[in-house]
Amino acid sequence: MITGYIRATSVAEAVSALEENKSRGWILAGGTDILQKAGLKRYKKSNPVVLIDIKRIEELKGIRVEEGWLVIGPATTLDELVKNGVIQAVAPVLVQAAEQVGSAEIRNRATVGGNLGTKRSSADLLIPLVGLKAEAEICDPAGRRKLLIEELLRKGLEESGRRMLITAIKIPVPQPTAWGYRRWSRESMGRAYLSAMVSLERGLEEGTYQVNVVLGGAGLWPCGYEAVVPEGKIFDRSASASLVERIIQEKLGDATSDRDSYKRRLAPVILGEALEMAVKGVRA
Amino acid sequence: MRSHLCLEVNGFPWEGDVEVGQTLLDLLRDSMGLTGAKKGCDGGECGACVVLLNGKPVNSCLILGVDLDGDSITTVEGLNDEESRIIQEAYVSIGAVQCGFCSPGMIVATKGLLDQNPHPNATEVNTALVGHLCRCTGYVRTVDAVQEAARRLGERRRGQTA
Repeated sequence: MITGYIRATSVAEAVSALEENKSRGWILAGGTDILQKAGLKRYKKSNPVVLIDIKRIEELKGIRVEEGWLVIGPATTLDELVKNGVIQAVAPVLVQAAEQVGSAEIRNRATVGGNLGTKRSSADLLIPLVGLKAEAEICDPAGRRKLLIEELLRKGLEESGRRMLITAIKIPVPQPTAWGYRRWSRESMGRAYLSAMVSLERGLEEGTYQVNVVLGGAGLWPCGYEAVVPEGKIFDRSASASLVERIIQEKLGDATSDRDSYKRRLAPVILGEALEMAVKGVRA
Repeated sequence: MRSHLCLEVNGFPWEGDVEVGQTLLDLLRDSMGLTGAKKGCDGGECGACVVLLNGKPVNSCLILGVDLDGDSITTVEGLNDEESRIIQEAYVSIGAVQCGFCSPGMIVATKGLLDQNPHPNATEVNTALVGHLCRCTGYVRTVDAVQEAARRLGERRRGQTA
């Protein structure tokens, strides 16, 4: 149960509160995940929890471009992300993904950092951020350093007993590319169960495209696929369907259980739709 | 652990103590007696508890009281101006209210939407209200009611400027 609440006003305060409270300390940003039924409301009453509120730390908010990096503060809400002109122009795939999260009410509170902190391999922002080769700047008592988002997901926000705070998400400013993002949820306006991102960029060789795919929810971690393919395989519907099937077979293989079988059948549909969105982007 | 809090609720200042784990919804209903926001799922899924926090619709069951300080909250009880009355009348005349349990949340969300976007199309209404569950109306009348409210508000504003 919630036994304490600390309103941090600086990164240093938040890091020191995390260090002081060890495993009792939970970061509170939007609260839309941890205050849900599956979160603190169902948490064992005998386990004390101290919430460390980071929403009022100015440094953790906002979106800016800085020396070739698009920098997103982890306390930025999904609504702010969706409506931000820089994101819409430079990384529209993040808008496509963030728009899928929950409801308008949830997006008014939920934050970018919170979406990553859930550690679900299908989390809506995680998949495009992996595709964009984003890095997370993290801070603990030892100082600040950067980690690839993928690496952060595998390591978690704890290292040698030290709790870490995400202080920024940094994306190399993307080149003009066509994007597609699709996801499937089993709950009403719920969490992504399976998600796919596709980016298409003209290849160095005439008549080819660089295809980047990230699939989420199909395994413990998001899985990526990169290839240069002739444009016919992308623009022709039956050729693109076999490309999708080939990618899914390579990444997911054959299903070995009923649960896998459901995902195995769903994955080509989601990926196919994401590819179609990206193709529409190229044509536009 | 208790914490002292100052808020503006429906235009009036409110000051008091809150338990650290108490949600804004419980604070409104139990401490302030404002029972317009309903406790449905208590998990951010049904939208019956939606209120405006600094003008934006939020699920009050997913916000802790201690999390707020100096913020402005508007519940359905606070929607008592002429424009809010037009929204409520549009809901009634189109038949978008039956049992009424979801209506306070939907009407607050409609106010939040129309403040930002005075002429939403059906897709924009659906996007704004996707977080609201209703077992009675089937949603079609809700979308019609929001668009009817937008039309009536537009007429009223045009009348005021003419």
